[in-house]
Amino acid sequence: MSYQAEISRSNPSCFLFLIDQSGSMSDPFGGGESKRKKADQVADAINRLLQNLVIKCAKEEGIRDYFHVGVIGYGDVVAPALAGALAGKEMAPISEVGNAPARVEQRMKKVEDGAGGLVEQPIRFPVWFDPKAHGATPMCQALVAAHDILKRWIDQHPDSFPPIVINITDGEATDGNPSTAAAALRGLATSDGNVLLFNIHLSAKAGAAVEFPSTVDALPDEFARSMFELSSVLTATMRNIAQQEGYVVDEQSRGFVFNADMVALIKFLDIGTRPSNLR
Amino acid sequence: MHVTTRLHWLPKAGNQREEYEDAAWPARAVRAAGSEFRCAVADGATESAFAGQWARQLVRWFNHNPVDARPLHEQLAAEQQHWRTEIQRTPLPWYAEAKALQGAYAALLGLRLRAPAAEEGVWEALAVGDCCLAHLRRDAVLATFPATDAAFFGSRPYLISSHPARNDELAAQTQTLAGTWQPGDRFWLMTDALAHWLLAGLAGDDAPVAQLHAQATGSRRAFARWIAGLRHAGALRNDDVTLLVVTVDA
Repeated sequence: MSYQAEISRSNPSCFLFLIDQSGSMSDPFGGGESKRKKADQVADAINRLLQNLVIKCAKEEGIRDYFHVGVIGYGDVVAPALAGALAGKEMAPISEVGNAPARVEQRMKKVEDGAGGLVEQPIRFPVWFDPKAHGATPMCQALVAAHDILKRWIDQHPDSFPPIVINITDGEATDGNPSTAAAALRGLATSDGNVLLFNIHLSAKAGAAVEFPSTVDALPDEFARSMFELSSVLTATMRNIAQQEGYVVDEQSRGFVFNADMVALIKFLDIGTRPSNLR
Repeated sequence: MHVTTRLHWLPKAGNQREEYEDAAWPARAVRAAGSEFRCAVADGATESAFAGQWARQLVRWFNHNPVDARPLHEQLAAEQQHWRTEIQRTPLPWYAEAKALQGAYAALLGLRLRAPAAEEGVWEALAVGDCCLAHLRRDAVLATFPATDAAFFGSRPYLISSHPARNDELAAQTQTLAGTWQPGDRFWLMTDALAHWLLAGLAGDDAPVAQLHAQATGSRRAFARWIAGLRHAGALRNDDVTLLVVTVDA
């Protein structure tokens, strides 16, 4: 059975994020009068994914290295995009990522007060990436770079839970059809299964968010349909937890979202007991 | 009524002893005499921080508080406040603060034994989550609670939270069971990994009761070796293990 390997500090798994930083990301997001740009959504998506992944691994004594994390930006260049102390690194343990955000902002968040009401409470919000939009969209090159990085990582971790690649993009590659490079990436495997390639498609098109679809029926254009086709099917464990979390998924549901974030995916990973009432 | 207890505990393989997040009360072997005896085990959830501390608080609370008719979430308000005070003693990095805001979570199983008025004594158990009790008379399992088969165990149980807003279903999720005991009866209070192994074994031909009884009465070192063997063979999920053995006599 695939995707059963225990994710632990002695047998960590890996996340590799690919972030589209091309010029087209300066277009407005989601159609209509939105002042937000696609690049703002990308920065939000990657910051929230990293934040939630770090929190998932956090314990009172620090961050447990259940995952190694890499980020590749693609636009003007295709290159590792972690900044500060992690600049130039292809991959870093999650503890190093969590301890080295570019800055930590103070934001207000509404939280339940325990008596049925809501109160505003200041929380610290880490920021690793700021919006960036310049150059072409060399998605094929980014997928090839991901292949090279993960091949090396898998050589060192042959029995790990397979790496998860999350590509955050507007889906409009300028260096050819990404399907061949994506198939090669999905073809990499540990003894526990193939690399999982998931896609977050942030579009200038208006339309309802689509999360983990099993068909292309609700997708608005060829770019969205093409990104769906590149995406791996959710594992059985992810599907089960997604169902418990209230998502409508089936055996063909893919790791793909349209105009939505993928923060829920972090909950779908099993690193030990997660109470059903933890929100 | 005379009660003796024995405790075996082990952290998850690969973890340090200080990372063990189960808890038990009594925390060491005891011999006690009286008309009432209480004991408990709890299991802090991996995906919450300060969960071991919350689990230790819950077993202490069960053992020291008088029986109270108020709903559980009301009875726990002071414990929740104490948990918050404790974790706020030192400044936390952003991720630990975010995790603490989510609260800590733990399963709890408590057992109360009362001395017999006539021939048989009474036992009452309370459970939230996936810790489990087995009531034994000689080699026979008379009851298991709250799990009755291995299908009970998943990785997403409803647990008691230190966050007051996360216990809204606690009343519905609290289970109780009562029965009678005779001199010489034993109770095993277990956290989920070992309980899962026991119930899976009871459904097959593995004679798990004789095995567990032999290991429970042996040395700590032998118990640890046995658990390591079960984990290595894939028969026991890699998790913290706690077994509290309670033997009751007239």
